[in-house]
Amino acid sequence: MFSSLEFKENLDRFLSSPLLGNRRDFLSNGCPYTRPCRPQDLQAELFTKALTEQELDRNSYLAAQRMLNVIYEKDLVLLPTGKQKKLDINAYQSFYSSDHYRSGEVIREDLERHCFDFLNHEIQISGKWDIESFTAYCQQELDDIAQSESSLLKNLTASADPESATRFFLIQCAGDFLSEASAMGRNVLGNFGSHTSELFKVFIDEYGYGVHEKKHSTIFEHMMTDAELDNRLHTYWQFYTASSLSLINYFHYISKNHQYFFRYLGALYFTEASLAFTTKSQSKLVKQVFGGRVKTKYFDEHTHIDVHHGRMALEKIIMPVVKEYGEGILPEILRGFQEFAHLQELADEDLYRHIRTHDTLAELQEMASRYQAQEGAEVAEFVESEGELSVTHCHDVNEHFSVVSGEIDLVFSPHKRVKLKAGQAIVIPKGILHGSCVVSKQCTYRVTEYRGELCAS
Amino acid sequence: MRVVTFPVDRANRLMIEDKGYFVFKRQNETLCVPTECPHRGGPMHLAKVSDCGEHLVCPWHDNSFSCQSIRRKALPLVQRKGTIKVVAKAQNTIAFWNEDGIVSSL
Repeated sequence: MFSSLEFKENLDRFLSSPLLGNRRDFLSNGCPYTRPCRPQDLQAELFTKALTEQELDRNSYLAAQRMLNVIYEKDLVLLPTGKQKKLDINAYQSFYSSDHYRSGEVIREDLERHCFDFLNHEIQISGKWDIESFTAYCQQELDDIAQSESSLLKNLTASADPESATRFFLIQCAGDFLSEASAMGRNVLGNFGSHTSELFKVFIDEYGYGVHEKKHSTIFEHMMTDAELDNRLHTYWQFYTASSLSLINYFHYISKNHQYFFRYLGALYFTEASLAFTTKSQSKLVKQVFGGRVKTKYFDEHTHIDVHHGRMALEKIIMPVVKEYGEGILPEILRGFQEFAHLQELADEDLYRHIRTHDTLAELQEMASRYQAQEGAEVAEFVESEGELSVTHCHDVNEHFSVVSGEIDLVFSPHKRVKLKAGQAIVIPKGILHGSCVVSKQCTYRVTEYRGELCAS
Repeated sequence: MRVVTFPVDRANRLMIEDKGYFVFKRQNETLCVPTECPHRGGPMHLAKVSDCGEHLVCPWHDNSFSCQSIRRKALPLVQRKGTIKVVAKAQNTIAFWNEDGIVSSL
């Protein structure tokens, strides 16, 4: 049950950290601790209920996923990496302070419910499962993935700007891949017999068996550099969609809460076994779009090693664990398998929706210019000064954004921005990530709900 | 072993080889259970839900079976995105169809 007063007090305390406050730029400069969350938008009441799947385009979902990521990653050791390894000691101490940790832990459970409870309603598992029916079911699901056409390849190569679309995809991966398998580390501690060591074998592959150049996150860093992207963790924090964050956070959620350890095994199996197929098309996408300028070693490595990891997860971990602890744990393992598959599908669809919006910014401006708001419609007017930045967010409704005076940049990705001058407008579809930055001495703009037809996304 | 896939709104009855099953929905749970009453083979898909909501009562001899015991006989099932997938230990005929008026305690 939502404990409102305690939650509210701790949410306010958590959000009062300067690390989560507003910024003057969209990219963090190599500091893994600055995580803007727009605290001014976040009242406790927004998080009182669990969202349904239809409500995942709300800003509260994005905000809750951002906060959860901060909370979970306090358990990781993060220091600046890359060219400029300057440590901001104040930010470091603030990020890892016990006060901030404590308030995060108090609000975590309610945020987890807000973000992940819908999975209990969207996925039902029943009946008497045994290892035979479990493997038959999972194999069928994986075969379907292996045989299906890659929607990623299809959607991104069909984009009006495939390079920008592919960079946006790599940015969505970055939050996870640049600290790859960190959540997994939570599960190799303790002692669950010989299975601990089997899981550890998968873990050490992810970590390059102690050779830093082989560590998966290092390989991904090189790929980011090749693609002319910053390879430091969370540089693109403001450009992670809620659905991308959900993929990172889900693994933390089921790994921090060891009551979900069996779900973790299922999610591990799904992700390892399916990546053996999906990374093939990811590699093909990068080759095709960048014409060989970007090395695809990261994806190619997974195409190879995840055949082993998928097999190891099933044969060396799940099957022996079930044999030892009984078939009663199978529905939980299957739940993890299916929940992560579901979140991955939602994240894919969300990515394509963002790419389609990026491709149709001109149409959205055209649509806005023709729109007449209904009489009496609520209109909010804002006056901001040069350099004032609105941290990225999304809206629960389609928004009509018009500039009265001055100039403002609307930013949809590091590579997609629209400059709006006095008299110009744009429609921002609900659930689409964006921010803004005033580029004239002063800018006055108005926002109102857009109730017209929307064909762009 | 076969995975049988069908849309939630298109089927609530299954025949797997010579054994009948029905889709029983209760609260936040969907079960695929045998139609045959363990007593004399009565049509459990036409059973009534007891007043307490926790039992199914066979229309032939009024035998009452707890949902707990019914759940134990349920086929392995996953429901997601408007689709039901059932794992059946059969290689041969599998048929599914929709039948009006079967038991449900939604």
